[in-house]
Parts: sequence; C-alpha cells; structure tokens
Amino acid sequence: MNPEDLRSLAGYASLLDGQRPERLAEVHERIGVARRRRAIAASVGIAGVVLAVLAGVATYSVRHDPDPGPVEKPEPTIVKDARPLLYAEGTTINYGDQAYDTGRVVEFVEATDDGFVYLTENDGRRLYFTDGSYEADRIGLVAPGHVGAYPVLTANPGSLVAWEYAPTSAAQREIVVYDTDRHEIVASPAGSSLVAVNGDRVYWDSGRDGRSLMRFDNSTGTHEAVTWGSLRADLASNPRMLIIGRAPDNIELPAVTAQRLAYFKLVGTRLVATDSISRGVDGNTTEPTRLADGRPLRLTVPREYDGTEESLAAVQWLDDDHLVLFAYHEHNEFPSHTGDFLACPVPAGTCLVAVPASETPYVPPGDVP
Amino acid sequence: MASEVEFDEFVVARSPALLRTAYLLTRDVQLAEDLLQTALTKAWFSWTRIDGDPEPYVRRILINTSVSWWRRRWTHETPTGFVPEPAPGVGSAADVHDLVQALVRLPRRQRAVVVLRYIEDRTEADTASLMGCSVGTIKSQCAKALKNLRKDAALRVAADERSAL
Repeated sequence: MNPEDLRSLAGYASLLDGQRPERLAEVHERIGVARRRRAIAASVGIAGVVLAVLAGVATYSVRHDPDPGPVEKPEPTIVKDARPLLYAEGTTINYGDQAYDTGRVVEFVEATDDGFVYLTENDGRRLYFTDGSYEADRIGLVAPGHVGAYPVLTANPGSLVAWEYAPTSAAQREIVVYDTDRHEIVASPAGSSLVAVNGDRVYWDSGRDGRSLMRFDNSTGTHEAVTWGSLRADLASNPRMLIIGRAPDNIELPAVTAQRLAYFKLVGTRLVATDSISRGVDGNTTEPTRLADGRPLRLTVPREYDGTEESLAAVQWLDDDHLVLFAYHEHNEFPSHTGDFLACPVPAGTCLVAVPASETPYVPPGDVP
Repeated sequence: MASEVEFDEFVVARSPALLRTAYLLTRDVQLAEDLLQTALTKAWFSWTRIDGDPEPYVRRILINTSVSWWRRRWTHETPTGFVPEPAPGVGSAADVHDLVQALVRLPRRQRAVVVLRYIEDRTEADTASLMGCSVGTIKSQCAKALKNLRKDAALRVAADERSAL
C-alpha cells in the first residue's frame, strides 16, 4: 500500500455522476425546514429551552449564572450496585477485579447490569456474553459494519443488549434484542438501523421510509411505532445521559444525546468539551456538556495529572454518580489505545486515575473512533 | 461577501466535486448525497458572512460533519448496490473494490485524512486547515492510516495475488 494506490481512487470517485438537477431544490427545502425550526426556537426563548425539555428541568438560570457554585448531587436512580469498570487488554477483558481471557484479541466490549458482551478479532463477528465467572455464551452474530462501528448498544442501567443482524449484506436487517438477566433473545423485529437502548426500551428505524421510529418495550413484550418526542422524553429520564450541543438540523433529536463519547481536552486542570458537533458550524461555539438533569458537567483533573497531550472521552457510567473517562493518545491504532482510565465522581467533579496506562493498549467500552 | 444567488450557483457548480469527496468518506451514494446536502444547508446560514472562496468553508463543514456525525447514522453505514465501475487505467474492479473496502474500515479521522491528503492530493497544510488540526497531527494520522491499510487483509491478499503473477 502506498499513496499512489490511493490516488487511483480519485479517478474512481470521478466516475460518480455528481450532477443532480433536483439537488438545489432539495437543499432549499432543507434550509426552509431549518429556518422554521430556528424560528420556533427563537419564539420560545433560546435553544437552552430545548435542552431544558430534554433534561426535564429548567436550566435557564443555570446557564446564565456566571458562578453557580458546586454542582449538587442528582437524585440517584440506581436499582443495582454500581457496575465494575470494564475494558479489554489484548485477549483479556478486565471486569472489576476479574480478568477474563477470551483467547482472541478483543475488538469490542460493552457492559450491561449483568456482565459484558464482546467481539473478538477474526471471529466472524460473533457476539458473546458472560459475567466473567463462566465460559461466555455466544448470543448472536452482528451485521457487518466497518472497524470500530459495531452496531451493538446496551442499556445503562439495564440488562438489554441490542444489535443489528443481517444474514447477507443485501438482506433485510433485524434488530436482535437479548436480555442478559434472562439469558435469552426477547425480540428480533425487522429494522434497518438501531437508534437507542434505554432501560427496558429499544428504538430503531423501521427502514420503511427512513424516518419511522419503532420501540420495543421489554417490560410488556410489545413493539410499536413511536414519535421522536417519545424517545427524547425517555432519554431525558435517564440520569446517565449526556447532552452534547446541538445536532445537525436534519436530525430529529434537537440535541445530541449520548451516554458516552463526549470529548474533552484539558485546559489547565479543567476538562472542556471539544466534540466537533458541540463546536457548531463555525467551529468555536462550544456548548457545555450537560447531564440529563440539566446541570452542567464540570470535570477537573488533579493539578499533577500529566495528560495534556491526550484526548479524553466519556466511555462508561458506573452508576448515576460515576463517569469513567478514557484519556488516550489520539493517534494510536484502532481499536486499542494507550491511555489512562479516570473515574470521575460527577457531583464533586474531580477525576482520578483509576487504571494507569500500560505497555499493552486498552480497548475501552463501546466505540472510540 | 457572497450573495444568496451565488449560493445557488455554487451548489450547481461545485456539488459534483464535493459529492466525490463525500462519497469517498462514506462509500455510500445516498449517504454522500445526504452529507453534501447537510453541509450545504449549514453553509447557507453563514453564507453572507463568508469572505472569499466559500469552497474551503463548505468542505470543512463536510469533513467535520462526516467525522463527528457518528451516532445517529454513520455508525450504521451499510453497503449499497451502487458501485461505479472503474475507468480504464484506474485499476481492476477487484483492486478498486478492495481499496475502497479497506478505506472505509479506517477510523473516520484517518479516512478523512487519507481522502484529503492522498486522493484529493491536498497539501499537509491544506488538509490540516480543513480538519482543524495541526500539520503534525496530519502527518501522524497519515502514517497510522497507511500502516492500517498495509495491514488490511483484503489488500494483502490482492498484493500477494499480483506478486504471484
């Protein structure tokens, strides 16, 4: 592989027929929709109101208080004990104080309340589950994607894991839902794209028109079409949810809502959100990362922490009050990275190194691009 | 200052080139079109404030959106049936297919760097400007990307087959 090989792709791409007469009209249609949304937002105040709706509480006073003081502890909604810190290191998955050897290099790992799911290298995208105390169960096959973008989501808190499955690339995808408490598949509806897993509920695009949101509720065993507003309200009820800036205009969620993957940089000892979505179009209007209760997420590291050359990503909630960050060298090889895990008690906001970097790179939970 | 009329002219004139970049970033014609229209829509709101050539600005939006728009859609990229046939001199269909497959397996930032630096033949400084990072970061990302591509199983097989001929 050399750059000359890659340059041949320029000719390849040039064969695309890039002229579409209807494009201009479609762009103007999008502009019209975006303008209407902006007008609505302006008429009711500011975009912060949208965040407040998501968060379920009024945030306006917080946003405009230059020194709101210490962040109060949110009401915990933990129904089980805190999850153990989870990460992989070569063929080993570290789950709290347990070390589980998978026999193959781990490419993906993610937790539920009952254990962890994982995929390993060159293993046909088989998905396994265990709590580390027994040989892992093979629970399914994950549809092809590209490296680091496994279509697997888990509930936090909760016991559900959902993934996209397709027997062939041309076949209709299914959304497979597995309950790690009951150790069984509880649903496998047709669908094109997994959207979210929250508690007992799984959301996906039905694929019929690209905008049809469906929901499976494991507590009732039913699935139904729902609105994006229902999803927003559901996500807002989860205290382990981050709201990261504004979303692109053509995305139904008015704010990017996620449990992980808020990116930070160190500015002094303070962690500043740097997710490029948060930066906005002009690249410099950083929105603070917020908890779903509307409070700003303010994190710092000890003054002596030597991590200024690293990127930090939120990778795991251990419970409502403890967020784990992975401070990694940005240019390490995917999917493993050299870096430290930092545990951050959210109310206090001071992150401490929980697992220092070692010579073997780590694979943190979920996707870290 | 660019006028709104110029916006329409820009869309008509430059969309094909921008679509090619979007396609190389997404390897999916529909997603590429979506990415392009998203970038153009975002650009429209700042259009009258753009000084000089708007293309670098729009291209930067395109790149940033492709890198960061990870959750709702881009983590679920799926191959489509449409794949352009290579032109004479571009390489065999299998080679191009393997190369595109390998490219799309790269992490998104590395993919973006490869597309800008090697496929669009931009300078390191230009690529850094579009990516919003330092030249050193671009060099590092390029090295990582090439290393990953060299390790890619599909390309290794293709290279082995060629060397056996």
